[in-house]
Amino acid sequence: MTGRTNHEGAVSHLRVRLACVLFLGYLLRLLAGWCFAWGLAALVLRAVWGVSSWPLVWGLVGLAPAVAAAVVLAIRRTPSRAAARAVLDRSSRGGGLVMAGAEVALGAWEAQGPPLTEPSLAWRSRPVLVLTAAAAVFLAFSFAVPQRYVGVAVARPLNTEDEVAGLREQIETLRREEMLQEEDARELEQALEKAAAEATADDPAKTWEALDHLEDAVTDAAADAAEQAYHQTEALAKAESLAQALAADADALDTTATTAAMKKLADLLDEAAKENELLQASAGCDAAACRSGGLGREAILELASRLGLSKEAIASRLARLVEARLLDGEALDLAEMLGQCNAQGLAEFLAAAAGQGVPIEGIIDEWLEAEYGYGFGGIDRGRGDAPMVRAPPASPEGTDFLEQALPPATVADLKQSRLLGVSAGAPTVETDAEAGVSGALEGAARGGGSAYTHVVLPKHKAAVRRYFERDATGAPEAPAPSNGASP
Amino acid sequence: MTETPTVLQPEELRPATDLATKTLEQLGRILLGQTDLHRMVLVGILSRGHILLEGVPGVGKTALVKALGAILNLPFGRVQFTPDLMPADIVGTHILQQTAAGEREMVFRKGPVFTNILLADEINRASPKTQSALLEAMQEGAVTLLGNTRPLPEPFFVLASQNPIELEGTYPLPEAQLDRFLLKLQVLGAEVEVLDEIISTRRRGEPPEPTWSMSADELASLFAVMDRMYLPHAVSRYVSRLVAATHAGAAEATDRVGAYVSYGASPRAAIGIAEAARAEALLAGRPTVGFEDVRTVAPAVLNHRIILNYKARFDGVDTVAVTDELLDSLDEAELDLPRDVQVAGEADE
Repeated sequence: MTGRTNHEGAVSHLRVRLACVLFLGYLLRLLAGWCFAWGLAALVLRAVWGVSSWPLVWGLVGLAPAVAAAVVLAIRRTPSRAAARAVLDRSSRGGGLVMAGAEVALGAWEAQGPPLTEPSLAWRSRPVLVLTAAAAVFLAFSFAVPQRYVGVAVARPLNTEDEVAGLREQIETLRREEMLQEEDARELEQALEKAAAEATADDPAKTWEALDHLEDAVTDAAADAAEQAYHQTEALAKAESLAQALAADADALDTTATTAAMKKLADLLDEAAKENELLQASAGCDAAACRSGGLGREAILELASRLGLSKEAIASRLARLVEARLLDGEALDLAEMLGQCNAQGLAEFLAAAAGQGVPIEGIIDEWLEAEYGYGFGGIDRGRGDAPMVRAPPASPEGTDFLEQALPPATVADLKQSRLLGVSAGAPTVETDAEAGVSGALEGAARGGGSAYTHVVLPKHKAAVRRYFERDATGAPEAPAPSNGASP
Repeated sequence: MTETPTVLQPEELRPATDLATKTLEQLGRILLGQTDLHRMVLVGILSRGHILLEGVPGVGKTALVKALGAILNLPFGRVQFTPDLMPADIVGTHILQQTAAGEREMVFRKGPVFTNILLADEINRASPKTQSALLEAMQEGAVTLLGNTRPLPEPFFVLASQNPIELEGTYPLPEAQLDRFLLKLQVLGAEVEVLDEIISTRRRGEPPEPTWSMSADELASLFAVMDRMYLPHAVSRYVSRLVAATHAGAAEATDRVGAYVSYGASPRAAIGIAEAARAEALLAGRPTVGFEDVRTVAPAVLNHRIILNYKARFDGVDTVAVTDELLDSLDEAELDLPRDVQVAGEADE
């Protein structure tokens, strides 16, 4: 019997025990390292790219390589059989017999040798356990921490170049047109630059909200400027209308009325000059001349011309705002509409009112109120709060209803008609409509399209005409300054 | 078909162990209270090595050697080393002698070295020149004079003694000679009980005569058994690693070795440890050498072979401390486990 097979079982058992302890130690270390690496990667991914936590759970697959690596390391580090046998010899106090058993025959010593005693293994596991626990906590923290706390590392860019450039141009336009104070313009620009610098895709609402706020501020400034321009234009239009009316038909008014009209012109000039820097230099002189009656027809025409130029200047400024997309195109239309000068209408109105003992200032105010005050066109003379204009009163002469006999076919049509509904809209005008006829009446003369004819007062004729003079799209034509205010 | 080598069987080993035990018993009967010293001296004898005994005067060094010679039944020679001792006084010399024919010729007269057991008493009192006269004898077992090499009788042992406290008029042994001593043993004073027994049972301290002595055949059988003592590979590797670790800069050298050792042990130290460990195993009644045998004999083999630097002297570090630390730090089984995994009985790192 040789000693080569002696103690083999004990040697193998000791090696397996050592391998298990080594595997456990390596596994915990690798797990700790993997948890730290995984947690760090999760934090970086969440912070930089905003990756949510669930896709990162795929990191669990990294545990398999960790286990495999622990197995490999444990196998490589497991002591050789000779070393394990030496340990057994030492723990059994074999005096070399156990070791020699693998190299030479022990003979009788196999029976007389000391009993084998497997050594106890000591593993100081506390440090690695603490390390692993800390790594697990770190991993859990990296997954559980809310996204808002980790998204600080790298801000994702948000492209706001076009919006910022547009706002910058609009602010510059408002500054150039002196519609915005220099200090306010600087503050807006600083706010704009700050919003552009802090623009990040992580919180785009904040950036867009800031830009919207700036856009509102700029738009409000433009709207204020446009409103002011409207007022100026309207004031200029009023003064221009009166000036041109006075110049066109100065002889229609007597001296007293002319003087009163000139004073009114002076008041309108003062009012127009309040908000117009261009006129402020000359308006004072012109107003004084008007009040003193020193303005001739030529001078009044020249004054009207200057007023027109001022309107054009204001329109040009509005056009630049429209070009900068601060206002829409309707602003120009509105300004043009407000600036329309109806000198002829006013002249006719003054001529009609002359000699009726009505104060000329009142006449002018009423006309201006009707022309520029409430609405522009229509049959209702403006908005709901527009005052009733009763002067001059219309004469009832010749306004009786004219009785006309309806043709029999029309009466028959009406009797056979059935009421489908009542519409507030305009009646449809069928130019080729004709009542059906039959029998003996066929070929008889055709009647009108309606059962009654209505006498329209002269002052309503213009409104009625405009109503029926619609264009092809159905929109009314441009409102005429006269809304049936003719006497 | 080759036979598997077999270790010494119990019936083969037991007679040798009994002889060694008897020798120790006789030594213990003659010289009281030095059991460990006697065991190590016998280890040195079984290993056929030379022994340097270091101790203060009067502790029984000479008596030990005398008793050993009487027990082993070997011729014994004693040389008192003095400063004026010459090499010829040890190895012998040629003298002019007239023959019967009236011619004169040079005749070699053997010195005291031509014996089996030589006691070199207070060897450090002789000059290095005289000390060196023993180099060849200790290593080669022969003496060469005028071109003639004369072998010394077998076995040949040198048991030298030196006094560690007298520095005046002494010459420290050169390293080459120190290295030829297998063991350097410290002879310590006796305890109170031992002293009481000596003075109460022995007239003028005269030791008793041995009641048993070993025959030449028995001594030869002991040496034959020594030759068959088995040294496992793991133990021989442990011995090699241990000796290598005495050199500063070695892979397994300790910090203390790196700081204090100028020269480590020679390969002769490894051979000496292996031989002494075999003898220790024989005394323990085992046919194989274990780690514990190496740990037992290594300090005595290494302590005079490790040369410390001046910093060791300043810091009060001696070779015993260095050797003990080495033995504690070196893992015999060479498990190479992680630091947090330990096997019971493994040296603490």
